[in-house]
Amino acid sequence: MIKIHNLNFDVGKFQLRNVSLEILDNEYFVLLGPSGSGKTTLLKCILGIHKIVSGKIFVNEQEVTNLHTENRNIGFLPQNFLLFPNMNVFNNIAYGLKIKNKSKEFIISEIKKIVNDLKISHLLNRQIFSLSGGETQKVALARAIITNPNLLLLDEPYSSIDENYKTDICFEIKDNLKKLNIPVIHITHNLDEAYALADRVGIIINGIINQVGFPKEVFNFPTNENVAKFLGIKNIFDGEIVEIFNNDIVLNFNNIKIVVNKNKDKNYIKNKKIKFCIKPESIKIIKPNEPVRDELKENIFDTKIVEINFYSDTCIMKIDLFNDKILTMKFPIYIFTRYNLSIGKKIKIGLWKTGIISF
Amino acid sequence: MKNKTFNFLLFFFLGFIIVFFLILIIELFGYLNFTTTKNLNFSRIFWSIRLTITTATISSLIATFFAIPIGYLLSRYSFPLKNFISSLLYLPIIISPIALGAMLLIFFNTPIGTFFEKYFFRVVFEVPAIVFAQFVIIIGMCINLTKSVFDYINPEYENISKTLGATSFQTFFYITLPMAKKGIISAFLLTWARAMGEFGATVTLAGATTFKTETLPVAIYLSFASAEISTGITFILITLFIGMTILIILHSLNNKLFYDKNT
Repeated sequence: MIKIHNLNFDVGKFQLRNVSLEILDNEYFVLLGPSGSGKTTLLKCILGIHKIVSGKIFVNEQEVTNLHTENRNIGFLPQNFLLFPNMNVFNNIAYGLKIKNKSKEFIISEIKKIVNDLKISHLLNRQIFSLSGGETQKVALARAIITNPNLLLLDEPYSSIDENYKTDICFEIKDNLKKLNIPVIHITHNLDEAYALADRVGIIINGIINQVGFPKEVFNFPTNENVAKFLGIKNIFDGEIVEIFNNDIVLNFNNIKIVVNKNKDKNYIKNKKIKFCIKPESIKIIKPNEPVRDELKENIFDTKIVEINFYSDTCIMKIDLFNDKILTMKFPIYIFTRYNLSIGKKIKIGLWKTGIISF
Repeated sequence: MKNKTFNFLLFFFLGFIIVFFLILIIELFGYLNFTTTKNLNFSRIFWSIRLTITTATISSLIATFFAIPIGYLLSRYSFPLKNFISSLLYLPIIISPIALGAMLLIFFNTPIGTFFEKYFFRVVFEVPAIVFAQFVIIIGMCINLTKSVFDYINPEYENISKTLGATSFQTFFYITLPMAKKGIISAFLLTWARAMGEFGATVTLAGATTFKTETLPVAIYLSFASAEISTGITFILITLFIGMTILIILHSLNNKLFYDKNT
């Protein structure tokens, strides 16, 4: 198990503040955050490349906070892979074992195992300049894991890989790492990548860990406004609590009442102002004279379409919900033709209660 | 049309300088008197060539030996007075070589200098003086060139090496130095070429004695001082030939000089 306890780091105007994380054995942990949020800085603190101001780092019960990088046994796959240009593929992979004075036979047998698993045995005698992006990545990964590290850190490993190839390779690599039983911290700013790969995910913004949890939990229930904004949730507003029931609360928002599911971890106080968000995909169009689903019944409003934008498979539409409060809604593109939508058209919408999150 | 004018102007400036240099070289042949050339003292010429190449090689090797760790230190580490120290290394460029030669001459009259000459070997007006003078002239340049080579190598390579269990020493010798190899060779050749042409400090510290401290630049000076124009021109042409050979090697290396910082 990897434990990071109250880690603080200071570099000029940027700080990592009170970072605490626990990575379980064999866990694939994805640290997600926008550019400049401190993801790579945190990895470099864990590696010992940056000296931290305070805090402790434990790897398998052993404190490594004050150890030099070379004594931590933490593998690292940098963003641009950085294969050593003065060595061929074989020597790049063998480097970590050669440094440890392992025998030639041992090095060859270890390399054979890894290159077979990663399906790169045909590359061993190649010069690194002749490799494709995907091949370079696999060689860099082989180099990082051949020393059997206690933890593997992946710094945006798929940012320079072709989109078509990415889906296949990221699951293939995850499977390989799972087999090797190495816990992983993978950092990225890509939401889809995090959702698809993570056993658990952490959100870092401005040097602070904002939320940690299972992907579904984090993506569906952001705990604060910063996380919601980073996850692309557009409709964030202020509301006042006017009623508190067993399972729901009622918010006053611009003189309209919105019923919101209660967050069990929060204490609600009547008349207190809170922030809440409405997930764009939780806003549903209601066709006149059609039965309305129970989950939508409590929050039904009349609106007017003000903007429509099309993407490859989705449509993002802005609607005016009384008094110039603009909501963004997102739906599959076939809905657009089915409902015959156009700018200026008046429509009735329902808000899916589970898609309204209070902070 | 505008692009053509721009390109023409660029080539005009280049052509102007090239033509000027070619005139400087070609005019030498006009002054070369083949009757007196036949009477050239070849043993003196070969002696000078050998002395120049030997001393320039020794001083450049010593300079490179010092420049590698110092260049690496200046490239990778921050420490107090770094700016002051970096500026100090430009001293041989700011101060004239004759002044530096004079400073060295004075140094060998101080207790430290006298101690050195008494217990190690004689320097002033001897061959080691040439090496000393050349070394002082080229060391700053060599350090700055070597530092630039290390600046071009992404330090992340070193971090990767350390994550694989290598110490700072192992990382330096197995990763950084091999990656810097071509750049360091280039720095060595440039400083070697500069040492070859060194005159001011050499003549002040080592004097100008034929068959003793007569390097090629000193030989040119002595030939012209004694009105042996043809001999002087022969020495100039030899210096030109050696210098050009080095620069051509350097330029062919230069294309593959550095590994891409972001590779």
